[in-house]
Amino acid sequence: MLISHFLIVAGLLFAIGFFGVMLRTNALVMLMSLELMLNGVNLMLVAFSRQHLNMDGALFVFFSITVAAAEVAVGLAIVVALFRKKQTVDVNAFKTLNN
Amino acid sequence: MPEEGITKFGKYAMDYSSLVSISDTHNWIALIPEISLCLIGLFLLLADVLIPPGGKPWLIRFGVGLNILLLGYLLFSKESASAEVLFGGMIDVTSLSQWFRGFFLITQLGIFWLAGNYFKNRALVRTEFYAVVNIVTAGMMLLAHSSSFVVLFVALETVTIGLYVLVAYDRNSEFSLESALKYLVLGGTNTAILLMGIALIYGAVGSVNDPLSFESVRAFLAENPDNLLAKMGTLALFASVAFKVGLVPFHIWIPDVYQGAPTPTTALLSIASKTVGFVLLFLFFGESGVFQPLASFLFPFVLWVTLISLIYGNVTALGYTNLKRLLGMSGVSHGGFLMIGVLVYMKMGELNWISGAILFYLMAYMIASLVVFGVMSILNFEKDEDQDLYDYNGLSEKRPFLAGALTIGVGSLAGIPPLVGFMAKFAFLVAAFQSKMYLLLGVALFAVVVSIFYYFKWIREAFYKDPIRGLSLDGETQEEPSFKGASYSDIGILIFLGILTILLGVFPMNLLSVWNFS
Repeated sequence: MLISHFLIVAGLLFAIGFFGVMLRTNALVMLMSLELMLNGVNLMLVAFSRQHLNMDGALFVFFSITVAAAEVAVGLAIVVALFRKKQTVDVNAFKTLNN
Repeated sequence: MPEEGITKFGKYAMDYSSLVSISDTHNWIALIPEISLCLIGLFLLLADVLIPPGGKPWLIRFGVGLNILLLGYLLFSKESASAEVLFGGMIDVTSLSQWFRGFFLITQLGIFWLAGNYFKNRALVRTEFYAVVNIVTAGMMLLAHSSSFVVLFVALETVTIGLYVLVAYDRNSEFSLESALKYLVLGGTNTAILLMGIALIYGAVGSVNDPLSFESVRAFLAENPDNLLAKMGTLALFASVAFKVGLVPFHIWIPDVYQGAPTPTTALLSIASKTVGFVLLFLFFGESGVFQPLASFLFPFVLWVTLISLIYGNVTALGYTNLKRLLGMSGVSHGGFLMIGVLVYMKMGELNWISGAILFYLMAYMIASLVVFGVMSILNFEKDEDQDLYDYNGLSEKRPFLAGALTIGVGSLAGIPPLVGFMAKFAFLVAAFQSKMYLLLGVALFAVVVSIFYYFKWIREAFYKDPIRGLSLDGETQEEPSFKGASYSDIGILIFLGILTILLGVFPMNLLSVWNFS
């Protein structure tokens, strides 16, 4: 297996996540897509770590996983609070802020 | 392919003595301010559960008192930049990072002042706000000291996730929650892009010892300035910095998030989030910055982002009457203005005072923003997300002091001569002229002129009473608008900030040269 195979998969994961955030309208799916982007980068870090034969990238992934968990915890709390207000998690319903 | 004779990861397996030599560099004294801020935050959270409701205002006062003590410690401790290697080279204490420590701590105290006013007459949990702001401030300070991409990432995310919580702080308001969701989704995307940039740079630098430290990345880039992976990574990192500063086209979150967030959080976003961006820019493009070897590659990107931000931020702000949106877009143009300094810095010409000018501008922006947000938080309109220009109609008649303070703050933001904002802008205009960036100079002048138009619309509303406004259609007078007054402590703080605005505007040159850390 070449490093480029891993990089292609990582890039695909990142791209799927990115377009998921941009195109989907369900807030929960958007949060999932955010995670997908981070996981794409994690895969990339681990692949580079294996290529360079050092542990720095693999260790960095732990920090990234922790941050992703914290982010999604806050995100889910916000989505739940919004759901209580609006009875929906569709982002098209959240259009109250304007000039 | 593993080289011969090397087992998996064996080449870098550490022996006991190298571990000891790294742990010898753990000098916790160097991080006392950050550690104490985290402890204050955790103490507030814990004590909030334990003490009865009547004691909570005193708990908050106690916490703020501890913060003031910490500021005193920072001001009077003689600790300066140390050449010592700290935490295995992950933390770097310089006079610049010390400056940012003080800046963030003063900003934090200002935010606490705004929060105290904001929470009056609002049924919200209070102590948590102070706790989270403490931890966010600790994250920002740590960021200024980071010397490795690991610390940079962790510190930056501490700040960002704390800010998500603070934006969503008013859980009963759909506006606050909506803006928090928008901030979270866009901020999360930005985090992923930042991480992608770091991963690409790691992929390029790779096999050296400690590949994520700034030093090795800089050394690598100086040798291979044409590495494609590193270039892509650098662009990704610049995009994420531009998101923090709020530069066009990465500004899309600004108007909505500023509008929906509670007023003290909006102030924290506009002062601190912007400064965080410039901390990163100092780390990246400063004299010993990571990406200084790629400065000529990045220069055109930075230039165009700056020009577009200056124009777009001001022109968009013209159309807004909602004050928080207006301050947000004017913040975009302030970010563009500050980028002029960074551009000059990247060129590394004769202008050695430019880093001092950037710090001076950040300070001027902080003082002026605190005055303006201070007046907004004292007036404390019931609909926090809907503070309009026209709500200020007739302010000077009812509350002349607040109208005067507002004029000083807004005038300083606009850059009117005796005030500090003018000197800050003027320094950049001189710098742009001296480094022969005439297009930039022209656009900056245009930006100043346009910004005066919308800033003074606000002052006009405060000082002139529209005779038609008070009347309904059938000619009967409606209820007069009522404005809340300032308490004695508010008056004291506003007078102090106002005097500072004028004094620093008249005698700025000293600071410009004193703060030249490069």
